[in-house]
Amino acid sequence: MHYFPTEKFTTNTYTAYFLAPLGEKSAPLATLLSKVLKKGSAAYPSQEQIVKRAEELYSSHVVSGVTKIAESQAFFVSLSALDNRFAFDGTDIATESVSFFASLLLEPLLRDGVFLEETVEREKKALLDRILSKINNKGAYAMQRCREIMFENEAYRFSIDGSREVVESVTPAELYSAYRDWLDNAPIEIFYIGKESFSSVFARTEHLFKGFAPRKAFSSHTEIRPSVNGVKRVTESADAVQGKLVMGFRAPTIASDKDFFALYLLDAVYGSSPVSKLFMNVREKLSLCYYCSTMCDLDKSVLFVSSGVENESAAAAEKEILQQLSEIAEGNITDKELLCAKASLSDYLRSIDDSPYSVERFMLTQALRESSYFPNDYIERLDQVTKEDLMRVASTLSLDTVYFLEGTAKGVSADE
Amino acid sequence: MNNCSVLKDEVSGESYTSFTHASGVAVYVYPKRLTTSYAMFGARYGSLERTFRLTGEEWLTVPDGVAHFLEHKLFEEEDGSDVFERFAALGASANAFTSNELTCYLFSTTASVYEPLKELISFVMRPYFTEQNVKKEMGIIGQEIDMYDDMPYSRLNQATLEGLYSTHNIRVNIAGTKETISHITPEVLYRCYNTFYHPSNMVLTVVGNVEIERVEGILDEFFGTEKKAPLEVERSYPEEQSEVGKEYTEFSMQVAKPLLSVSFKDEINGLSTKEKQRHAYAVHILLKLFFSRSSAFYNDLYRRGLITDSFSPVYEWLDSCAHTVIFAESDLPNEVFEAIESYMSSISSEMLDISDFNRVKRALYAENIKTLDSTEDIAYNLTDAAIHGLTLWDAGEAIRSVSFEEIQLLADTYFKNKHLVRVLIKPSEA
Repeated sequence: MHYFPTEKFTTNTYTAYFLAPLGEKSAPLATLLSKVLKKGSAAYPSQEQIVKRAEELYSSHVVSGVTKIAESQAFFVSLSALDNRFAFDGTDIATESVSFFASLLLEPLLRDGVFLEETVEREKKALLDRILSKINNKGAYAMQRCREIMFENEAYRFSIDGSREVVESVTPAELYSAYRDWLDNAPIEIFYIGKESFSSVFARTEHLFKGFAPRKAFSSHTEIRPSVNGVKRVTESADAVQGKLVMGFRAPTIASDKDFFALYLLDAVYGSSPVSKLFMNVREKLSLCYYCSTMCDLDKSVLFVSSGVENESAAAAEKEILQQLSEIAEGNITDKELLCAKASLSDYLRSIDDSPYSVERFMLTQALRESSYFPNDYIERLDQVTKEDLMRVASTLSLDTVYFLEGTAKGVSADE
Repeated sequence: MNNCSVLKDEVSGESYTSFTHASGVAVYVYPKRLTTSYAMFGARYGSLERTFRLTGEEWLTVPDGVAHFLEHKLFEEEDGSDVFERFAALGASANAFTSNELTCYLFSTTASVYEPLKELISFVMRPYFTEQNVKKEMGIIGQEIDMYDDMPYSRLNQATLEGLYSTHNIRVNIAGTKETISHITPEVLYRCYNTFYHPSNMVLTVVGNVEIERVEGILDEFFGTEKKAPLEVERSYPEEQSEVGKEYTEFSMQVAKPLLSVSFKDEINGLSTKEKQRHAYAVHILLKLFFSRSSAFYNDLYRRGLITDSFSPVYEWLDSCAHTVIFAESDLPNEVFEAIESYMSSISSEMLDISDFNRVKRALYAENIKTLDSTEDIAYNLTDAAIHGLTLWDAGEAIRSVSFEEIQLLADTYFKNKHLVRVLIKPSEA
C-alpha cells in the first residue's frame, strides 16, 4: 500500500490497481467488468440506486476502468470522497463512502452465481458501440490504426476495448470467472491520497481487503523489438476534411538509465513540449498543420508523431518531421531549446503532486518499473542529460510505420 | 489600489482579494497552497462583439472569427522572438482561448509567478500585425477550423446554436469560417485591439503562490500609477426574436451512430446577473432530477437500449441568452426525439420528492467545493464570475439558497410550451 499524506485537497482518494499482462481477451474482459460493477451491486441493484447513493455521500466518485501501461494492464477501482469537514449534516463521509466502495467492488449483483445476463449483454453492446464510435475522433483513430499496424505481432497492439469479435464472444460466466481471477490472484497496488492518519487508512484498507489471500508482486514484461527492415506504409481514407498523419518510431537500444532519461528529454525537444522543434517549425514556421506533436512510451521504447494535415501537405509534413529529427541527431539543438525542454518537463513533474490522480499514476508507473524514483529524482536526472546524449538517442530512432488517414470530404465552412 | 476588498468563503474558509488598478485593470489575487500557480489575463471581448465603436467614431462591423484570430496573432512579436519559448525558459507554460465573451491569455507554473506574469502582461499589451503575418495565420486557423469541422460534437453544438437562435451572435462560430477570416486585415485587428484591449476592459486573475503587493508592483511598473480614464465602447447587437432559428436540422457526416440534440431557449432578460446565476443552478438541479444518470428517465431509456452513456443535459447561459440542450447518441433517433418530447410535457412537481431534491442539491454543493482543489479551476471560475460582476463565492451561495418550493414551481413550468429545436447527425454512407 502506498500512503500519500497531504492537506492540499478537499477529498480523500483510495485506488486499487489489479495488475496483469496485457491480453487480447483479458483487457476487454476487464473493461466490461469495470462497467458491469457500476451497473448494480447486491446492496444497490441498479445504476440508478448506485448514482443516488453516490450523490447522497456528497457526490462521492467511484471510478472504475482499465489502463494500459506498455504491455501490462491495470484494472482499477477508485474512490474520491469529500472530506468530512464539509459535511453540513454530520455524515461520516469517510467511513460510509469506503463501505459503499467496498460493496460495489466485493459484493456484485449476481444471479445463479454469475453476473446478470441482461446487464452483461447491454454493456457488451455499449462497448461494441464505443469501438465503432472510435472513427468519430479521427486523431485517436489514426493513432490506434498506426499501433495495430506497427505492432501486428506484439501484445502492444491490443487496445483495452478489444476487438468486435472478442467482445461479442464474452459470456456472463466467463466475465465472472475473470472477476474472481482478478480478486483472488492478481497482484494489487493500493493508493491513498488525503489527510487521514496512516493508522486510520491502514485500518480501513485492512478491513476492505480482509478476505484477500497473499499474492506475489507483479513483474511486468514488455518486449522491446529491434526495428524491422523497411518502413511500413498504410494509407486509408475517412470522410473528413483534414487528414491525420501518424509516424511510429522504435528506439530499440534504450537500456540504461542514462538512455531512458535522454529519450524522455528527446521527446520534449522534438515534439511534446510547447516549444518543441515540431511545433516551432512544422506548425509555426511552415504552417503545414494545426497540430504536430510527439508521444513517447518510455517503457516500450517507441515514439509516435501525430499531426493533422491537409492531404496535399502530408508529404511535405512527413519530410519536415524527419528533417527535424535529423537536426537533433546532428546536434543542431540550441542551448535555449535544451533549457526550455528541461524547464517544461520539470514544471510538469513538479505539478504531479497537485492532483491525486497524477500522484498515483506516477507511483504506479514506478512500481511497474521496479524503481523508487520520485518526481524530484526525475528532475535531477533530466538535468544531467547533455546534447550529446540527445544526439546519440535520436540517431537510434528508426522509422517503422507511416500511417495516413486521408480526408476525402470537402470543407463545410467554406460552403456556408 | 481602488475598491480593494477581501472576499471570504464561509464554507471553505478560503479568501481572495479584488481591486482595481489605477490603469483600470480589474485584479483578483487568490493565494492558494498548491504547487502550481495559474494566471489569466483576459479582455472582455469575444465572438459576440461584431458591431461596435468607440464613442464618437464610426460604427464598425468585423468579419466573424476576428477575436479568435487576434488571440493567435498576439503571440507574434515584432522582433521575431517567440512568446511560448520565453515562458518555457521561465518554467511556465503559456496558452490562450477565445470564448463568446472573453479572450484570455494564461500560463501555469510551478516556479515563481512574477517573471512570467510580467511576460504575460507585456506580450498581450504589445500588438504587432502585418499583412504578411496575418496571411500566414489564415492557413493555421483554416486548419483549426477543418479540425473542428471533423468533430461530430462540435458540429452538433454549432448546429444546435444555429437552430435555437435566429439572429443572436451566439450563432456565430468562434473561429469564423475560412471565408470570413479571409477578410481579416491588420487594420481590422488594430481597430479591435484598440477598442477592447484597453486596461479598463481587462481582467487579471492570479491564483497560487502569490502576494497582492507584488502583483500591484508589476502593474505599477508596466502601466504607471496614474489613474487612467476608461474607454467608452458602444456595442450593438441584433435583437433576438422569440422564434427559433431553425426547428429541425439534419445532415450527415462520418459518425458510428446517429447523434442528436433537443434544445430550447430560456427567457432570462428581466433578471439581474445574480438572479441569472441562481436560476441557472435551479435549472441545473431540475435537469439532474429529471435527466441525469440518477433519473428514472435516463435509466429507462438506457435499459431499453435507446440511448448510450453519451447522454448529457446541459444548461448554458450568457448575459444576453440562455438555453437547455439534451445531447444523445442513438440508433433510433426518432424514438429518442419523441421520448424526450413527451417526457418533457409530462414533467410536473408531483413527480418530485424532497429527499431527491436534497440529495441532488448536496451533490452540487460538494462538486462546487471540489473545484477548490485546482488553481486552474479557481482561475477559470474566478475570471468567469468577475466578467459577470459576480464573486467566486456567489455560486456556492446560490446553490445553498435554492429551495424545494422553487424547484417544484420550476418543474411545473420550465418544460411546458417550449419551442423545441432538434438536430440530427446521420452516419454518412461508407
